[in-house]
Amino acid sequence: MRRGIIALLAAVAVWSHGGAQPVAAEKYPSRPITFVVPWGAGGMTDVTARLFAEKFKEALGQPVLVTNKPGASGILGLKYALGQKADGYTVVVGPMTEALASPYFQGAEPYDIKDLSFVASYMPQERVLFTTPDKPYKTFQEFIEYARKHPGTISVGSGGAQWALEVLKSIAVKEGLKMKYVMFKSGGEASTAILGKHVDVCETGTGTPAYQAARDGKLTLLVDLGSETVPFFPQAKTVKQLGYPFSTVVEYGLAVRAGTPEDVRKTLEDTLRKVVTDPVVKDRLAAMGLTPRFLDGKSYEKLVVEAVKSVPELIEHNKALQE
Amino acid sequence: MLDIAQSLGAGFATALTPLYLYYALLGTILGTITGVLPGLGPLGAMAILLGFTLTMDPTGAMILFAGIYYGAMYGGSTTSILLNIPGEAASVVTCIDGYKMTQKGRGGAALTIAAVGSFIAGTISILGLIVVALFLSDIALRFGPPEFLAIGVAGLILLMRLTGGPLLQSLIMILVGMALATVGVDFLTGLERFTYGIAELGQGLEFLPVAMGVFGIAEVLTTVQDRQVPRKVGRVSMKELLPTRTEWKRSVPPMLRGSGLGFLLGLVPGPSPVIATFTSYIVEKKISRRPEEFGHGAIEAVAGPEAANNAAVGGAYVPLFALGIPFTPAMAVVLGALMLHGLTPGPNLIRAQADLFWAVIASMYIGNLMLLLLNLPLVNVFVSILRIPRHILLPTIVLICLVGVYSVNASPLDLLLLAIFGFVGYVLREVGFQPAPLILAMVIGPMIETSLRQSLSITGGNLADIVFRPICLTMYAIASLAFVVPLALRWFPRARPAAPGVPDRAADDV
Repeated sequence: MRRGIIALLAAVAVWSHGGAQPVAAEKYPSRPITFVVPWGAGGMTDVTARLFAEKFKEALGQPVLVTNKPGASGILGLKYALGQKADGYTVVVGPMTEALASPYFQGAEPYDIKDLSFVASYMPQERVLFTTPDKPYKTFQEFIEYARKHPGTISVGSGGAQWALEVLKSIAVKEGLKMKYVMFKSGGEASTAILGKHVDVCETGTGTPAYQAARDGKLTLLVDLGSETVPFFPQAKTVKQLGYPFSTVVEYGLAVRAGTPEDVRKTLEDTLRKVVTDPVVKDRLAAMGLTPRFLDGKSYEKLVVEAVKSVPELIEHNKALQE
Repeated sequence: MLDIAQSLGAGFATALTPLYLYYALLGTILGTITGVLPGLGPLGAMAILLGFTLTMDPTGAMILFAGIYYGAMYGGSTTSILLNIPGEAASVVTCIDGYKMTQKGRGGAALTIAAVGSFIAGTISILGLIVVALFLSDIALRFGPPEFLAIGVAGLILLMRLTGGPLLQSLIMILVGMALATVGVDFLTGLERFTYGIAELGQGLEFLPVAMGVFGIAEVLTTVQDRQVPRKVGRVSMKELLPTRTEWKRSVPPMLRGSGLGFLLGLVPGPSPVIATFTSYIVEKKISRRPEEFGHGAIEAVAGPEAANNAAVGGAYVPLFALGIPFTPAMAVVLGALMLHGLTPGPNLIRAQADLFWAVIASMYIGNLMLLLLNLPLVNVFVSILRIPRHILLPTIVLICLVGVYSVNASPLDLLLLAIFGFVGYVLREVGFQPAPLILAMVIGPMIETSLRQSLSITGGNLADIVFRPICLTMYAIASLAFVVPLALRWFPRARPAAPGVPDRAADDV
């Protein structure tokens, strides 16, 4: 019964959110924290954010509310969070790599990375290219050969990741391939398309239905578009290992607005470290096909800056495709 | 077959344990609340509770979520029928005749029919869920972008016939609705469209402020204007709460047809429950012996669509259980809950987690029964809203609209949109335009645009490849027939016996 009442109260709390809040001068946190998820409910970011919200509440003794601000590949949510007070009570959760890279793809004004203060990261995610087992190509090399011999026939799907799609295009530029590119809204939609053979090959992140189907042998993994390893597929090669210059990086983490007091940022960082190394959380994430990994704020910032640096170059490189 | 009966029996045994019964009851109550209050829908409610399910076992979590989802569908029609405020896209059609019934003092009957229709639809869709999930699990995968396009286009063609007004009027409303739906960041290219530099418009125009504006707020404005015609909403006797014998008789066949239609369309991703509601409305109107009553409070127009949107819920669970793929945002949250519990959603879920699957199926049925028992007495409570004097009720409706819209995104822009579309809706009524096609086109517009562009990418721009597919051809054929036959009949009026007193423009004078 108590759980029910708490649930109702939480609903009411969110319903009336934005109400009067006391001025915080005492020890952080003295009131509820909000996790801003710049992606929709039910996605990878949302699920992990809600898992952490529960663990943060246990660790900090304050409720953690999760609000979704989806749209424009993370830009809207990030903008919203940067518009709040720099007091550590508004925390952005998600792949900061994606949110900071998307303005380049959209031709929008890029973010000044100095507006953000990185708390820490909690997991990398690989973008992976799949195909159905009935195709004549079983490896990435065979796929390239086939695509070369059959120009303009192969359709390439993407589960909503512009960066990953551009990496695929950069390979097409290098190999002189002519292919058709189809964007889907989410990993779920892209999974339906590849499982139903509506596209020939398709990229999605690890943890999606397509990835789970590949674990069951219903899809073939061709290549890893990222730069680390794919859980449960130790033999998977990355595009860089195959000699291509570009890869995509997805690193999930927490960030707050720049100017947030350092001790507050540190409290969040320490809490995240505790949560990520919690064996229960580790098991849960591992079962989804995700590999939790903690990087402190400094390392996270360095990783994001390094990764996003290659994006303008990638866009320049792919201009060849449009001509 | 015996296996299934045995598994289902075991499922009921699990679902009837006190803890799971409690979760089912909790879910249905929370679902009813979120459904009745426009704004925060089942998606929001489930997302908030996702963290809380961590302390439950996966079966309990699934039972709770199923209760919320079904409960929200039951409750969703309440404000549509009583106050002309659709809380979600699937209840827009219910507004058309449901609210007219309330104005005639039959609001209680409409609510009762909606609850019973939802129960029947729930039962049928659970049976459908079992059959399709076990034997035809791959059916959903046959639908690719060209098939989605066909469904969307067929839906649009049917939509033109929804209100029975002049075709040109409906067409204008549909085109305006589709144009409004293009506002926001285009996800295929990431470019902004019609945002005029307003960052919040990047998300696009939300359904809720537009729908609650053109229905709820516009209704209030119109009522205020009609000072001379005081509406008699004061007395609601017990007799008015219950449907009459004729009303029952007229409702049962639409409920059954709506259930079948809703379940089938629910198997398809995207706004198919919405398409199911207005398809049901049009089907009922076409085969009814009293088509002139549609638009003026026909009970069939509440029974059919309400059954259709509930049955679609069962349909939506099929791809989740059979394939591990969420077709609606709410199903994505359910998938998230499964993943948080370490269950790998995918084609093997039903076999690997047979206990969970059957217990959830059983609890869906139990939940439906609970909802029926919960909702029938509530009809009385809800109808008493109408006893509230007008000078209190009207501001309350405005307040409900404001809170409902704000609760979703906490965005002041949405409130502005609510006001703008409230005024737009008022003007439309004054000049005799029906707003329903506009709202519904806003929902299917993006489906058509996205699937058309994806289809063109996949086929390399070959239109024949997009149209000449078995499923697509069937869709286009059905839609063309539905469109051409009435026109042909009008051109050859002698072909059918004259039907005196059935003016085709019956809905014009609304």
